[in-house]
Amino acid sequence: MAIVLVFATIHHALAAEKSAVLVAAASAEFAAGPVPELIPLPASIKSDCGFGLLVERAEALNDDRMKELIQGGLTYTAAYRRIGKEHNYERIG
Amino acid sequence: MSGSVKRIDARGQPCPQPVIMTKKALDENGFETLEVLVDGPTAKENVSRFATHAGHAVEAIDGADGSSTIRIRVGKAAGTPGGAAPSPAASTTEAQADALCGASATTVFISSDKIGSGDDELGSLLMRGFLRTISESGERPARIILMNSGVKLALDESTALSSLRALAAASVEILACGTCLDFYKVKDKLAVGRVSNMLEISGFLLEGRTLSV
Repeated sequence: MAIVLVFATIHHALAAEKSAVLVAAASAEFAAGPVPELIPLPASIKSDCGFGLLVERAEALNDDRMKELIQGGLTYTAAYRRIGKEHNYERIG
Repeated sequence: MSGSVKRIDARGQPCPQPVIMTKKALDENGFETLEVLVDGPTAKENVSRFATHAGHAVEAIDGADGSSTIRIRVGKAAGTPGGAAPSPAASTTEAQADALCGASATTVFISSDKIGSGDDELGSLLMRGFLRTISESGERPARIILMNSGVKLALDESTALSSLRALAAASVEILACGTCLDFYKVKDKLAVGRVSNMLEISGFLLEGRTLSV
């Protein structure tokens, strides 16, 4: 289960990655997943930035709580839930 | 059939036939050693790489006439007394063998841990993104050569390590410049691929299509 956050600019995305890494390290709710990281966005997600923040999390953590946890004062422009392991995403916010 | 040897002659065969002939021979049982006769460095490299990835011990003996004999001891990979279990490459299909020689036989040459010059943070992100993208792509290179600070991408603390490991698992050869690892004093931190040298690297760069990143 993963969520991808899209930001207005690459500068926002880089700052968000740093913040998310710190948040994830301090949160048991993210312990089950890998470290959040910026990934190239698939063509299906429209973004000038080109990269999005991928955050994996435990099954028990719902999308709203997850977004609340990782936002950390940073504003993303869109959020997508990854469906399966392919580049299929569903917009959730 | 202890000690039995099977021999095949793949000289003059266009790529990827030597690999396909080797695979078909290995699929047959009843011998301990397979000797494949090839002519040319590409066939020698491809057959050796295929057999090594398939879990066999490989020794290449160069002949005076430019041909080579690749001696494959079935299931006797070095360091595994009982023989190694075949890797996923053991089930190489003809299409995959074809990729060793055809348009997909691209060498990606990476001479920095960043893409381009300018902002280092952006350059690192672009390199990470590039490796992740090709690791998830259906069109992978045959090998990736890492030189100068590019070797840092294959170290245990690298943020690109997962992508390089995925590529290695998909039979993309990862070669790291030994001189460069020594220079940066990080040889013991190499976490994916193998150490290579200028002779081998220059051979690959001159032999086929190279994409420099």
